[in-house]
Amino acid sequence: MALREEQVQRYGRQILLREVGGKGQERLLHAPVRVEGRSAAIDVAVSVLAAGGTPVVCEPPPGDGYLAGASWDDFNPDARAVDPPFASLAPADFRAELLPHAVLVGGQGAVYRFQDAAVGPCPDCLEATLASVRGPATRSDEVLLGSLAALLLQRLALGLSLDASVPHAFRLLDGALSATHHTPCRRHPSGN
Amino acid sequence: MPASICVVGVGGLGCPASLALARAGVRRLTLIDPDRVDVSNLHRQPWHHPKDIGRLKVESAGEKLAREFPRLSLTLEARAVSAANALDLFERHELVLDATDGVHTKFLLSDAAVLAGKPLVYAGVLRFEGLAMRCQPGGPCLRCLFETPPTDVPTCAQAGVLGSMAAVMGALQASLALRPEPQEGLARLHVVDGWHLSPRLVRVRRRKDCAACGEGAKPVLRDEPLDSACPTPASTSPTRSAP
Amino acid sequence: MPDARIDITHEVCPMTYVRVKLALEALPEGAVLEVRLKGAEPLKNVPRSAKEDGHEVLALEALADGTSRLVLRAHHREA
Repeated sequence: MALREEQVQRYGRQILLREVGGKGQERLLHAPVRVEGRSAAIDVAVSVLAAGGTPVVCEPPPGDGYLAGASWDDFNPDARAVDPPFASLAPADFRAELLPHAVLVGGQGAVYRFQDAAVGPCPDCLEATLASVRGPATRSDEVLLGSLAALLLQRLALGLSLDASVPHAFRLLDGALSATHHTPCRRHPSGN
Repeated sequence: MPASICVVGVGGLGCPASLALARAGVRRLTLIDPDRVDVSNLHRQPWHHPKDIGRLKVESAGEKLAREFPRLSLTLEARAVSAANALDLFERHELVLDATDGVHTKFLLSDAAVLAGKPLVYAGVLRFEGLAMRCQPGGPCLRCLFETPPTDVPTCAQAGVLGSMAAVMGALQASLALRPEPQEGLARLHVVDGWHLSPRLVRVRRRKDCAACGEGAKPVLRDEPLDSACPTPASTSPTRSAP
Repeated sequence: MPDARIDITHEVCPMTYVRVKLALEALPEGAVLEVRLKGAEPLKNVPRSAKEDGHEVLALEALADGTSRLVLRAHHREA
């Protein structure tokens, strides 16, 4: 499906990226994210994703922050999801069913969850990882974590590698970002 | 927490930075940007909505910040930073955030910070790489990091930027604005590689022979020569790759 | 004969290269794109950007009407 003229204008700066291009922008536009719960960080992530052309299954839209009460049509009509969602965006304590690909954000970090026998994580490893990012975030750090969650989801939609060489958990330590792999659980002492 | 902060540039970095600072409870915020909202800004500058195209960026962002944070005292200035007014920004605020996209302006702000003896938080995004550093009085400054502004004009292919990368770096800038560096003469350069997802910290020391903050040095504020080939080649600061 | 033609004489940076990039992406490997462009900035930047993205510059010539003709061969890297 070709990009419409107004999409070429809106996403031109993203299309310029070698890793994105016209085809990558089309992937972003057809890879909706399903929002599984709300927090300040999630509302930031939703706005950043929607601005860049990722449709979001998120009603109502964030009432405060970037959207400032605007509807999806006023903010970016492309943010309305038509295709089936490809990934979940959820708070770190969310335990109901997620889509196979998900980003969990909360506490002091953001964590990738995906289903891959080779690189995991198993549910226990994921729990251990989420425990490692627990802790209070400042109100300004929530903007950073939400933006980071949007970056993780955009990478996923662009089909960027999630092999074992890429870290899957991100944490804020004294204002600095650090990246790690999933914390191994007891059954996977060498990590998975 | 600084009571008054000046955010220079209300684009890809300035939007997330101003949201984060307002959320943190900063009392006085000044936004400075001479530009008007263009359709190509919308993917990475979420304060600006389609109906704002053609409006001044400071008014578009200021209107929403005022609505969301009614207790915030906002000053909006639709003008460019120049050698004539750069020092004044530091005199009127406790800290300045460099959220601009021009290499020359970045060095101008760094030099003004050294002259004024006030902290500056630098950031830049190029393609998938983001850099951010808090420059404290006593150094290091941007010239300790890069020595001279790069002369090579970036190509259009290098002007691409992913909205979420700018969002991360702008929010990181706000986080640095709220956290003083513990040690004088030493700073941490935050390098975020959005492609390999490997954030890292590089320790930067004040250079004794730095042309701006070195021993006996005194920077001279200068405006950019008017012969730039491409008006807005890169979106959010092409300096150069991290050391 | 080029496989496709595009006129970017009315575009400004960086939309000049956005148009060329999208046109090249739409072509099969090895196909040839002819670009009409105008002004110093795209003349300098568009061929450089195309080379950076892995495409080949076959020709660049000034035309009598003040515009230029750039001929590119599309090469697609492995994703």
